[in-house]
Amino acid sequence: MAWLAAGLGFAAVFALMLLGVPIAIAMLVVGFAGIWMLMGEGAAFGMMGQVPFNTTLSYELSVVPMFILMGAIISRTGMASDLYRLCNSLLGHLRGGLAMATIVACGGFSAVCGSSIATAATMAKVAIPEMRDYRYGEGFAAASVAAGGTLGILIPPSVIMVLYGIATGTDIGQLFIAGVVPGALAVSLYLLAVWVHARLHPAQAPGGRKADRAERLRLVAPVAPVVLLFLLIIGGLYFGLFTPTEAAGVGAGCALLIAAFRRVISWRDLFDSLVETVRTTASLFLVLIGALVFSNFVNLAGLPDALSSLISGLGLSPLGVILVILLIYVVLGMFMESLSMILLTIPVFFPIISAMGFNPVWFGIFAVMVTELSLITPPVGLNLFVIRGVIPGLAIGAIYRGIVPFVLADLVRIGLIIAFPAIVLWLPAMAAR
Amino acid sequence: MIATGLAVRVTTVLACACAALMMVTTFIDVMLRYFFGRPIGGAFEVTEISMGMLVFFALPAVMLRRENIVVTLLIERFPSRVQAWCAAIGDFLCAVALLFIAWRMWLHGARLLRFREVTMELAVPKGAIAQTMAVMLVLAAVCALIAGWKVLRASSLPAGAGRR
Repeated sequence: MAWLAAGLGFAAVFALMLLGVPIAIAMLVVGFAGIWMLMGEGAAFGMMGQVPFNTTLSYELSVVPMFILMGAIISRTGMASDLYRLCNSLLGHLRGGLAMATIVACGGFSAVCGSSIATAATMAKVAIPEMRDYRYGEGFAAASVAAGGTLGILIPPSVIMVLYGIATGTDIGQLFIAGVVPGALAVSLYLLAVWVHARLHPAQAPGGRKADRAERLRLVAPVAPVVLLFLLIIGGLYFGLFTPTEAAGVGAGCALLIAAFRRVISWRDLFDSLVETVRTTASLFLVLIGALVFSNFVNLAGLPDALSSLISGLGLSPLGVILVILLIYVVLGMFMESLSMILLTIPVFFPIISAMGFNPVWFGIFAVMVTELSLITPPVGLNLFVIRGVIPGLAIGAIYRGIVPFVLADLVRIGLIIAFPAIVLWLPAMAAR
Repeated sequence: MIATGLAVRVTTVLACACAALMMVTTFIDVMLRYFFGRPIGGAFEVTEISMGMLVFFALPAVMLRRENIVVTLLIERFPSRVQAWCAAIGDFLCAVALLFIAWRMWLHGARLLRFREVTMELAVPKGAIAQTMAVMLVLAAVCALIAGWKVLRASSLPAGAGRR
């Protein structure tokens, strides 16, 4: 019974989704219909009035718009090109150095931006023209930005971590802190991927100009505010000075002060940032509401219990379960939008994972990494399309070829956190609670 | 349709005001607490309520501009006329769902009003919040219908619509 109801539910959501119905509405309608059938009219009708009201009136969720706003303001301050110039002066002269600079600059930008798409779109405008000038392989250049952009959701702040935290009741501050070390690992592995690619295809990734020490020092100053902002947010969370919402409010406020102080932002820019923020927030939250209704249905249908007994019946080990989940995510990630993929599957996977004794913070980071992978795997690697949207005339086939080393780096990283969970859990365990 | 466009502009500005209010309140609250030892009374609720209102005030604009998160993998391979029909049916389904939620939320709000439920610190009637949200949902449903009608009339999807 559980299998039939839940199976039909998932099939219906996928069918509607593929026919172009907005994902939020597909989940909402199917979830509602399912609850109606299982629990009757009263429960279903009541839920439709209460879930949207109770979900959105939430202090915790206000982290999302405020961090989006912070990113929107920062991306209008020209900070991205300052960051890129600095990284370029440090790394640009190496073979593949401009791509390395791109990765590090993306990592830096991710530290003040919670969205992968925004990170990729912002950095593409800065980094790709530069790499073009030095005759980098086009696909490789675009792929390095697409991959670097995925750091946006791993290095805190991160929109997807907040939504995961809300959906599963996991501490958002802990998730943010847990993202720091894996973020550094991700940057290192991407740098390694660039280095290997540059060795194998020297013509695609030549070295750039060498900067002298004076120039490097001069380029540090404009980047300092971003670094301080990141340290303030993460330090505040680490030492327990802020709740995530307070950190977001302070972050957005400071971003605005920085922009005002540098006189780089007009009233018009500020208004545009706000408009961008509220639209993005509304479309994300609609998906969240749909996912909550659908996950209520999946739970009422008894799918998590049915799956748990199936797993114990098959005698799958915890590692086996994680690998199966990874496989499912890789396949789903090829054609699904990443956030909806996480919200749609969490109600099924999370109970199993926690029953098997996995740490919810660890699984959150795992889910984020799988999402990152889905952002760069063809055919629907969203970041690849974002970059093609920003830089017209890029051949999608070339980007697909260029992305391979980065996909491999992602897989290695996921393997590492499975083998050594301490990479994720060490820092949050040290933090003040 | 012009009236709807105007209404959407107004609600978008209101949504922006909510976002700005939320940021300023949180920022000042934290500053006051750490440097002067006394937070703003009710800051928590201001954030909470503006969070909820922000989403619903911004929803009409999202519907009108077709900024919903959509999977385009399959339908982008269809002929443009079929694409337009799929999109319009999707919009219609959105409108129906939004209207249904609006109806349920309005009733939920009426019940909250009847029991005189108010928020703890600022004593805002919860029912009024729910019913404002319901009105925004009706506007969002109208916007979804307009967006669907526009797509049908143009007989093709505007480039890049729906992809995020």
